[in-house]
Amino acid sequence: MIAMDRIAFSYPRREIFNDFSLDIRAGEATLITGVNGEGKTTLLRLMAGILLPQRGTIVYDRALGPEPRAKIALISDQMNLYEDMSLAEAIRFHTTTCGIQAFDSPLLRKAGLTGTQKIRRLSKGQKLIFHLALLLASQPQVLLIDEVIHSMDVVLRELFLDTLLDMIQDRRVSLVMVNLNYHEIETIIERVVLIQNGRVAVDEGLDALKDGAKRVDCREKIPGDGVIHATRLGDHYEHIVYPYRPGWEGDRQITVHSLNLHEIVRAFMGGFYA
Amino acid sequence: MLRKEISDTLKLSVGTVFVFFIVVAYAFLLVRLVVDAEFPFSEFLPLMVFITMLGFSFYLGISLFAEEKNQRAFEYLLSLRFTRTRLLWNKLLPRFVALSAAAVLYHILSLFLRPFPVPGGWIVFLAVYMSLFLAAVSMSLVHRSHITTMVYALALFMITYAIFALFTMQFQELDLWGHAEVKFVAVCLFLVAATAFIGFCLHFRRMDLGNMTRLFLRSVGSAARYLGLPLLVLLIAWIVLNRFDARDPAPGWTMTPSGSPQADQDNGFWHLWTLSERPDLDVESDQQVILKYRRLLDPRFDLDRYVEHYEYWTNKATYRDYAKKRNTILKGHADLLSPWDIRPYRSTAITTAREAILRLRRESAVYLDRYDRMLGCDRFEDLTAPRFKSPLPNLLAWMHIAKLYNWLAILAAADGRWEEAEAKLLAHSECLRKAVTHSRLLLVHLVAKGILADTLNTLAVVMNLEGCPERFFRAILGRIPEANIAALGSETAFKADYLAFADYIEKRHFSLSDHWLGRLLGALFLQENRTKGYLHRPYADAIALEKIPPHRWKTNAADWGKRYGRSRQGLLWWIQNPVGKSVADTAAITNLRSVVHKSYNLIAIVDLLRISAEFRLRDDGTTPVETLLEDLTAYRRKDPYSGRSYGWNGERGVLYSHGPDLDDDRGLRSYLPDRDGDLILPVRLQRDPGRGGANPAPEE
Repeated sequence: MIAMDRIAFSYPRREIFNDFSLDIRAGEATLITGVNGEGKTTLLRLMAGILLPQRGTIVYDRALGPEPRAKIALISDQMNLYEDMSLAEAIRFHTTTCGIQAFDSPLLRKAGLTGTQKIRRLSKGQKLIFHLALLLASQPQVLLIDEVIHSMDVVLRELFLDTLLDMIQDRRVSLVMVNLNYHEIETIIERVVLIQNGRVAVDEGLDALKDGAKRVDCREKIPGDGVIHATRLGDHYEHIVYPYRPGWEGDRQITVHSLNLHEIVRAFMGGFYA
Repeated sequence: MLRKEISDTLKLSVGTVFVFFIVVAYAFLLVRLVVDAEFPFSEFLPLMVFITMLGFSFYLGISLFAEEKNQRAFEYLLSLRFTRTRLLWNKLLPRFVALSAAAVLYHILSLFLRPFPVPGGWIVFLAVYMSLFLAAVSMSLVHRSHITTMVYALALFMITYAIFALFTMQFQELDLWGHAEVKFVAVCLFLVAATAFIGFCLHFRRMDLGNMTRLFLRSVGSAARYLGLPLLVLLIAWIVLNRFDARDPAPGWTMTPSGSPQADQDNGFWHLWTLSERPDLDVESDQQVILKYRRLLDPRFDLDRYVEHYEYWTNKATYRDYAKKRNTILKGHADLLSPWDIRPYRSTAITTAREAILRLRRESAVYLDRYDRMLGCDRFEDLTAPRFKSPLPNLLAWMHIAKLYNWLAILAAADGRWEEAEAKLLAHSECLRKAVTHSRLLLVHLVAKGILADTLNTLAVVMNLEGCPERFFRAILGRIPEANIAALGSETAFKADYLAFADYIEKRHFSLSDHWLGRLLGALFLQENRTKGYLHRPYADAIALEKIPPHRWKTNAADWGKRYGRSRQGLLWWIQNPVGKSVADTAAITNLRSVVHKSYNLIAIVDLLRISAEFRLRDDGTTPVETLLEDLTAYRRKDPYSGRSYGWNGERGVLYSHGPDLDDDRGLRSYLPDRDGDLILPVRLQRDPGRGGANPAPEE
């Protein structure tokens, strides 16, 4: 759907990407993760066309039509609408600008966002829901979500995630998320991309990642490939191993535990910080 | 989106109008209260409208992304489906329309509310107006803070001001902004702003949201990269073009000081210089006085140095006490105090003021004595070095003493001392003729002409007094020769005036050279000879035209000499010699046509005086005046203003010339040299009214 080929991008005195490549596939929910400052948000803005790569190319699938950017929607907690507008004015502006014929959003009704109140007066979560409603009206085929869930209360969060699920299941929308809270999105995402030093360090389906990443406890420290993190805990060592294959431990006495996404990502990040 | 931008632009425009009215009201109130209680609204309004237009232009540009900056909606804007180019276009289009509409409204306003000056004319206005907009657009993303933006705006304004002020020296007078070089500077500013704008548009496509300042710097850098080299080449070409100066327009016009210091006291000009020295000094033996004037006039001294440092006002101050006393003595005789009392029948006014004039004679004894010595000199050679800063003799003193001298001559004649009157007036006129011929500086020359005209009129007054003897008429015919333009023209003065201007150019006396940047501009963009040529042309034309009597001048010569327009000629006039044009435009130049008229006025008065004198000698009291005039030798001279014989109006009793207006007004006098009316000389006929002629009443 979106193919980034050997792109380069840097801010003044700080290089973010150099020779970076990544494909976003149709109908797939992808989590982009990595330590702070690795360029996750920049990557989403590059995909959305807000930023332009200084080298390399970003190719959009023909399925996105002649105006691919019209079918790509970005929502971010750093992004503001025109806050002096009322909801009605913002809807009018957005629909006119994006060529949307009719606007009817169950999402807004559920969230109770109607009337002439100014956007400025909405809470952060309400603003995000409102923005999502606007974006959905243009029926995007790629939805880019940058760190928004933590700004919402429980009700809005559920509403938001339900909407995303519907989109993936009903409309086969490609979803690309940048998030640091993995519990709630674990049921949505299918693919995990971990960025390290401006390059893709891990690019795996969620199930494969979970199958491959294991916690291995052992009385001795196990050297060798695949151990991305080892910690001594009392009388034994705790290893995070990826990829784990049966027999990897040899003749050692070990206990193998499965990991959830949060633990896997934390393990990778902990490794990076170490 | 376009609709939103139109709406925003409309709001901004309406807001500007609203602010304009409030600011105008308060500012006008402030000006009236603090600066000038009588300051007219009609002068205040155009200036405010002009400033508002420029402010509107700048604000419209700088606020291009104000909404996005204030509401932090920039990312949302960029996330919309538009390309950057279309986004920019949507933003700019309504603003361009608003700018154009405002300019059209301004134009209409200037048409309906005359006088409503648009400083610099439309080219300059539109160039500055658009430059501010384009520059402001280029800066619109630099900073999010309004205060910082306003600092940028102020800096931009100051740079614009400095460029105009330094380059043109004409910033203070808005109506002078229309000059060619101002237009040139304005167009240059526009090109620079347009370059920055193009750079901005090119880089907006690849905008880095994290650092707006970098976008601006990139714009400038890009402009420098893409347009800098061509601009540099053009600048070098421009400088090289201005290295090719014209030839010296007047190589033959030289006027070196030619003083003969051993003969100071033989030269009437030297006495003119010393006329107003302190009365207690013996100017002919005082070495300080002699040295002072030698330093100014003797080529063996460093004339440039002494001319530069001559303390004109200090010297003038020595005469001030006498001038005050003179005015006190003549208080109540307003007729005598008028600058030039040329009324021919003024003998009554002078005899009425007899006591005051005689008292003034006692107080002025030293000055009159010095003046007598001046008139007694065989030569009157003006030794003034033709320099821009050449000082003048005390012309006020000259006029005061000359008038007193003529009044005393009239009183002598009225008392029957005809020989004394004759000697004084003829010596005076002979000296003044030499002064007119040889005087160098135009101002000295014009004063000499004025005093000569006064003296000739005084002779006419004396001729009209009862009992004027025949020998007086014969003396006039004998000692006042026929006048011609070689003797009474202004060629020497015109040349000296031009040479003073040439000195002004060569020595960089103009104020532009007071500043290092001005000196640099002068070095690069001033062509000395071409600039001299602008000033040489009117003087050369004046000298050529002076040789032709006014009645033969072509019709289109009417406005000749008022302006000099050669600086606007040639294919490359608009980039050639810009500093020279600026200097030439600000150099004041006299209306040379009126100077030439004064020459021919003098010739006509001399002719009329000689006709009058010969007429008195030949008048037998019976022959009709017209018949008698036809027989006179002096009457064969032609009026330079008509090409025909001089006129005679028997009813008024005046001989007359048509005067500068070239019309025959039947002897109705002209009070001012260039105005309608004739130049007249009243002739009091000594005959019985019943025997062929009237004896008109004096025109007091």
